[in-house]
Amino acid sequence: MEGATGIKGVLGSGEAWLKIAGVNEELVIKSVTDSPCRVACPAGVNVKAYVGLIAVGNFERALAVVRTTNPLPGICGRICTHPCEAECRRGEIDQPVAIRALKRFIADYAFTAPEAKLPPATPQRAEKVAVIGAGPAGLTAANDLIRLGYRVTIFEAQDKPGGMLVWGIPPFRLPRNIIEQEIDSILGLGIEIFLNTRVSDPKQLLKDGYRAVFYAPGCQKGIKLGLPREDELHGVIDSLTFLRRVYNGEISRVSGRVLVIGGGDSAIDSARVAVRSGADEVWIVYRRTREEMPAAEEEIGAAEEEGVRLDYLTQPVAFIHQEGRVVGLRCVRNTLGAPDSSGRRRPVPISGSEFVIPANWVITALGQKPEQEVKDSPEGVFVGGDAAGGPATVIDAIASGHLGARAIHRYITGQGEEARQGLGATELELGTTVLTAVPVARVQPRVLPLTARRSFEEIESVLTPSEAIQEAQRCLRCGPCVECVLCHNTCPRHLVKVYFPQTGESVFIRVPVLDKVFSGRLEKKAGVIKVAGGDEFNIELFPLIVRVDSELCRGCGSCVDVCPHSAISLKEWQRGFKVAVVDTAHCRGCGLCIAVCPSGALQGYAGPEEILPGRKR
Amino acid sequence: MKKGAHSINSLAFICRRLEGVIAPDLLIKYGFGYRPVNCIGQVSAGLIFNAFEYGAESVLLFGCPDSECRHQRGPEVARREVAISQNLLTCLGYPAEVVGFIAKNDLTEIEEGLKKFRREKVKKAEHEPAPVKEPIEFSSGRFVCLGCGRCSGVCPVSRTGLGFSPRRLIQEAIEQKKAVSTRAVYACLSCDLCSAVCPSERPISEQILRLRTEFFRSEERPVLAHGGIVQTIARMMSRGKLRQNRSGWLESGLRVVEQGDTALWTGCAPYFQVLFQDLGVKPLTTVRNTVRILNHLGIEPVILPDERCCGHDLIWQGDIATAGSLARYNIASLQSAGVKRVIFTCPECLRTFKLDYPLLVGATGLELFHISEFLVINGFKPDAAENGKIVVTYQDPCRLGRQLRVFSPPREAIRSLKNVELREMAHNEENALCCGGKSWLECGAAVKMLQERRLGEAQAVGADVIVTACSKCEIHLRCAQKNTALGAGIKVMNIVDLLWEKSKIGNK
Repeated sequence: MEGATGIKGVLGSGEAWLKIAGVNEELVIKSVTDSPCRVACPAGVNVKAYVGLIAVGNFERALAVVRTTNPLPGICGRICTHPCEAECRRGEIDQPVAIRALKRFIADYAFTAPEAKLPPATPQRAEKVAVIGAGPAGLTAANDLIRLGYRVTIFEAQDKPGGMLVWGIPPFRLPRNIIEQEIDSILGLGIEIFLNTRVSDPKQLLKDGYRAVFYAPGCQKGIKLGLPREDELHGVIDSLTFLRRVYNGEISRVSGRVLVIGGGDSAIDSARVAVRSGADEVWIVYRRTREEMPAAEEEIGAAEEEGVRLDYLTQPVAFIHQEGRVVGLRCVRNTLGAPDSSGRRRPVPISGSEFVIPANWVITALGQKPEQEVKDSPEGVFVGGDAAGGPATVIDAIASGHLGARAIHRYITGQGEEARQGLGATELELGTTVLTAVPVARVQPRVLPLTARRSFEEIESVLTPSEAIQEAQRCLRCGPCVECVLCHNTCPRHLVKVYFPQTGESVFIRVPVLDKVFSGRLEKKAGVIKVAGGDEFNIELFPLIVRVDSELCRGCGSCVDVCPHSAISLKEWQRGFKVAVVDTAHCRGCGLCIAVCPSGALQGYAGPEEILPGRKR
Repeated sequence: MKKGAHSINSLAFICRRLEGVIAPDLLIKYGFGYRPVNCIGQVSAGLIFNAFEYGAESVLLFGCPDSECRHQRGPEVARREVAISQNLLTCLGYPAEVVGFIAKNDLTEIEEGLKKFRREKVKKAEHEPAPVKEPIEFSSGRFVCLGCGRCSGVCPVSRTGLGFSPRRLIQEAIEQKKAVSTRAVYACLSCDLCSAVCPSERPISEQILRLRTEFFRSEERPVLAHGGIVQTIARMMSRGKLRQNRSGWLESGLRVVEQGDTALWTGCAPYFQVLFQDLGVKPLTTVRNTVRILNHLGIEPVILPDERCCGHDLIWQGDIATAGSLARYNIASLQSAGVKRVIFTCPECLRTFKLDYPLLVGATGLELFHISEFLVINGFKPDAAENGKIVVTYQDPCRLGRQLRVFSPPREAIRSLKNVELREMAHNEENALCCGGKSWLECGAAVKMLQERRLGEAQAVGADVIVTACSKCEIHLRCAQKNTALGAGIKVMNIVDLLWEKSKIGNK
């Protein structure tokens, strides 16, 4: 309790325990930053907030929330690898909330609601910033920078913006009009773009008057298999080139058996595109097993459904060719050995297991690398996107764009926060939350039937508004505040005042599972806080309550309307007259009811003190 | 607000979630003291006004962005309260920018907000403290209670069965003041239904008023409705120079003057228009219609540029001293405009001028009329409106009816309208039931029960419209209609609006 730390220092140190009189277990006091989904999101999108807003039907505000951290919601809503869903605590009960589908819903809503258009941003600063590469990282950085007031110019080597969104991801997963719309809305902020402009030396731009350069050209160069004649043979093609030629119409049809080598997303995409391009048979050849495949499980499953055959533990050793055209692939069977540096088990060839797979096409999808290495330079070049960390997901690229923009802002102005994700802890939570909700099935977006998947039409459809609301309501609203509502079953009180008699200080603290602390009787309790050094502090706990003065209540229902926690209802009192009654199990002491009560009948208390003074005047 | 080294002259309310984000040093740097609240939505307009009354130059609310509010609707409620405060402050002559809401949780953005707020706060309203004289005593006189209980028998508050009894109150007060509870003293509606039946000579409400004056001096205060904002505004009006916006409601075609012998008293209309917009009450429309009717009669009324609150609600709270200060301002303004007679749309203002001002500041020498009286005296004859016959009933405001004995002029005015049928409710004229208006204090269950009863009476006579002569009756009955089954569909309107809309002159 000494000096600078104060109560908040003690409680927030993460090394404190609370013992309350009459309660057996000791509670760990921990400081919580944010909900698991938001922490998991590389771009720090406030998932809980927008899901919560969808749940109450406020789509406009939900969209605004998404846009503060994710300028490409329609794209992420379709193809994000949704690390948030992996962390969703709803998954411990039944299945995670369909966060990606909800994001897509809200993004599609943006295109139908004219009032949801982005207003143009006006640069207020003289400094110009260049962005190289109009992929997701570059677009995000440009979006952030123009909002910070900079004049932004994008240089894009290709004839259209989008980067891997356009050249990598197939239209049946990500329709091209969605990409165009989202990119247009970002460029519409007032960003200048030069297409067909390859910048080989980013430092040159600094000499041309740009104060900083965000360098995000991506990874465009396919990694080679390293087998003889790989570059010469007709029918051997790397996946990016294959996809680009199909999208450009240069390859309109493939026939026979197509082999795709690799286990990542671009392998799966190539295989599914090959299916749609008329291939009789598509095989994915992978040297490890399904468990080690880096592609998303749902994508692998979709490819399988569409008839792609997966051949595991198969490693190519040579091309079989006739007259300059590939006709087959000589492979060897692998077995899995000890884990390698990536943590995956290393494939070990089984001697004498060679065999030949006849093939008309071989598509190599072994990953990509940048065409040219550029490092962060102290003079103002900031490398981001795939070029910085190797090929990654779209949401990683968006995160990289945010970080790049913040770094540039700091570089130019010397101001602004250190780049970090999340909000930082502002509140303290006690103990653990017990998950005991009734299982509710997850709402899945409808998909095209298999028979209809012969074209590049989008497979997944958007949720309807009622489906979206239904799905969003499955969210447990985890986080530093116990907004999951689950505690209602177990705990009559959530917000209590912890009073330190030694210093006279007090803090409010949220208590999720302490039904025994106040057990219906709303009076103060004594407790002890122990900290790591062995020191102990006596404290007093006061429940926070809103009281209704029944005589002053005129039963108008204003409080019932405003209460966000459904804690107030009108109950019969005397002579058939109804007055407001606060259900203390649901009240969280926010006090909105106090503000709206016309007659001053409601008042909040924590201990003997009124929360807001000045009711009587 | 004490003046420290950093000259703290403003107040910030901060959501507890932002306590760790906004350092107090930062706020002090910009001259803000601060008070944490559990959610920014907890801060009502009444609380914001308290800060201004105590001398704050500006009040700033810091909350979370909408999407991050733990209580979902905190910023929404805060924005609403800030908007109400801004509109009311504009009426009072402050720049609207002295109140603001900043929804941020990023330190740099908050600082930007503080800077911007400091920049925008350009001009400061000048307020000189008013010279407060010793309160003027109401005339005293021994009150003789016979203990007959007639008062409690007729009292509409007693009838709600919530334990209030005028007889007990009076007897306890005569025997020993301290036994009387604050709540009992402020439970009275001052409707004077009891006075009508009391065998003693003096009105009971006057005794209640004296008790309230004593209670107020000994810091025994009632719970004020609407966060006490009406009384706060009245007290702010009692001090020194103001730059009130008193004529912003004027529309083209309305003829008013600055000097003349007839004034129109607009009362709280501009403030109520802001405060009770949710109820659909439009007191300013009533004032505009009054000007139209007066213009029709060839009268161009004086509208005082610095009209202050009449002090009614302060008097009935027991704050005689401040009411006296207001009375002096008002009488001086009327005199300097050369006004000889004043027309009121509000019976409360009329009562205060007629019955209370002589006790506070001596005889005023003004001729005072309610608009209905004035119209009947001046032979206002509306023509028949062509369409739709409606059934109306008349709600006697207590101030106008029992206290000022104006029963028939409003009825005559209504009867003069063709196609309008006036039906009397079970309780009317001398026995009329109060709307439950109580000078914005101790509003509650008893009042609502009474209002439900009154709405029921109106429904029983098959009225389409309840016509009243007081905007408070209008506000209170409409508020009660919000969630009551009985009489919810009946329209409540001011007599002036009815006269204007249903007479042929209004249909032109």
